[in-house]
Amino acid sequence: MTTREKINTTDTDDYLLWQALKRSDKAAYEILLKQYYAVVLSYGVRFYRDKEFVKDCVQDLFIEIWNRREHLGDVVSVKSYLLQSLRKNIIRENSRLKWFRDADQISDDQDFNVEFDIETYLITREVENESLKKLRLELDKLSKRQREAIFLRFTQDLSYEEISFIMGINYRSVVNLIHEAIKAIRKNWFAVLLSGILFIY
Amino acid sequence: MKNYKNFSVEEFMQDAYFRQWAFDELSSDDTFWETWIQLNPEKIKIIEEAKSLVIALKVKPLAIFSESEISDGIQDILNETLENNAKANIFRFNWLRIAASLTILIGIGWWFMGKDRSTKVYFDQITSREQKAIHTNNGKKAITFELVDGSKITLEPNSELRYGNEFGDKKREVFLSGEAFFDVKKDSQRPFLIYTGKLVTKVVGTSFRIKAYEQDDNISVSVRTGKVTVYRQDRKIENNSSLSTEIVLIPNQKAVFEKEEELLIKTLVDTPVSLDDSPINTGLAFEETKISEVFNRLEGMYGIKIGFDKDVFSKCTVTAHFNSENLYQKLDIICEIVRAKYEIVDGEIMIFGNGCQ
Repeated sequence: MTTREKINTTDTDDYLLWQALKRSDKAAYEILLKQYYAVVLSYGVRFYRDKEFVKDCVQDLFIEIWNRREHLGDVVSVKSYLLQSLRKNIIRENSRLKWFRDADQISDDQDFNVEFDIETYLITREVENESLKKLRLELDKLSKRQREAIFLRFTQDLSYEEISFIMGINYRSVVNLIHEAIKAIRKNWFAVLLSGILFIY
Repeated sequence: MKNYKNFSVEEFMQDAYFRQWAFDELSSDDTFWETWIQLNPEKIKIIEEAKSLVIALKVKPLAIFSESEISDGIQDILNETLENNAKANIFRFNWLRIAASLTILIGIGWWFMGKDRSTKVYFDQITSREQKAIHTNNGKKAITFELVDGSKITLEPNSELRYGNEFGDKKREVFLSGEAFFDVKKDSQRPFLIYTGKLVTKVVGTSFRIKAYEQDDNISVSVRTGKVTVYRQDRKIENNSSLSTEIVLIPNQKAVFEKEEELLIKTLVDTPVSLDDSPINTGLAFEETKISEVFNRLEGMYGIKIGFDKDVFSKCTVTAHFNSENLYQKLDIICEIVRAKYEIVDGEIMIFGNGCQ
């Protein structure tokens, strides 16, 4: 039950902490840093595998927040603000680096590395059949943006509004990205379930 | 307690507690979900679907940063920003975090300190024979102190809190100008009264927000949880029989006091929030759903009464998918579908229309 209670207080906590941070409250800054540092890092490495590069980006982000604390505005949520800022910085830095490294291969399309746990889950339960292969194929077909939206929604517990802010696409698009993904998977997944090889329930 | 009965597949999928159960991560003595399913057998399909989709979409974690890398990284940033004196402050802030869900956020303008002196005069009267306690914050940072009843107050800069010496014995009354956070200790025997100009807010133990900036034409009290009573100060405090000017607010309701007209009105907060949940889980899906059921769901979700003529709207159905639309946006869409209008009357919603064919 503690999980649910915690979720209900997070928004208020963050709001209060953010307001305190704007008034130069060091303790508030430290709490926010400790709360979100790992979250932001683990989001960052999904864009760019270079650990040190991501670490530098995250460090710059938090230092900049402290330095600009008196000019910070109100945010939809602290978490979405952090993720959105990091995303922006990483993409900018990355394309700048790419420019120096290999001018021919600049692409606006940012990679987002998400793999699904389902294979591991099924392997530990020793199941394998045709429907499963189809399901895996379906998962493979998901676009980077779909993966990112799914990650933000079901792993990071963010609202459509927050996701649309982070990814810089409109609200409708986020809804569509996620719904299309669920629709595609649902079909094959239920075939798997109906085949009776797997009892998750 | 969340109202899981109204949850859609996707809402379950986004519920952290539900996901823990789906992933077998709950401790074995936590039988909440098993019990819940037994009590709600008609929801078994939704649960099954949500559970299987949650499993299908579980993202593989990327465990590439070690604990020590993370703590070193945090320390590096602290060294770059706060240097070495950050630790000393952390306890000062702790109570705020713990009490956040119970915290009462109050922002009161300067107005009784300025042109309207009625509260000050009133305060001087009732406390003339007593010693007065005055907390003034003329500094640049908020100050925190505890009252004798255990309530904690964080006073923002340019703010002042006053109370009589007998505070805490029989009654709890404070006078506030400026802005403050209140963490009111629950005590049903002695309600906590907050005086702001001509408006009085009475609390037993709840959370809400007051806005009373001098430059505004009105003072407003918005309730988040629990019950709050608001009334005009000219009502005699001891006289409980005169209830005409008293307004009782429930969650998502708001009292607005128009200073000029001295009018106290009950309405709804600007953005009603779902009561059983954080703002994240607001998804709702209706497929040819009877309008009475749609309104029922919304009533349950926001705790706001929705009035409509059941006979007139008996043939209306709604097909719509809602996610993070707020209550008013949802109502706009529903009303467009059934060609109706809504109004907010006395803190409730009324639907008007000619029904459907």
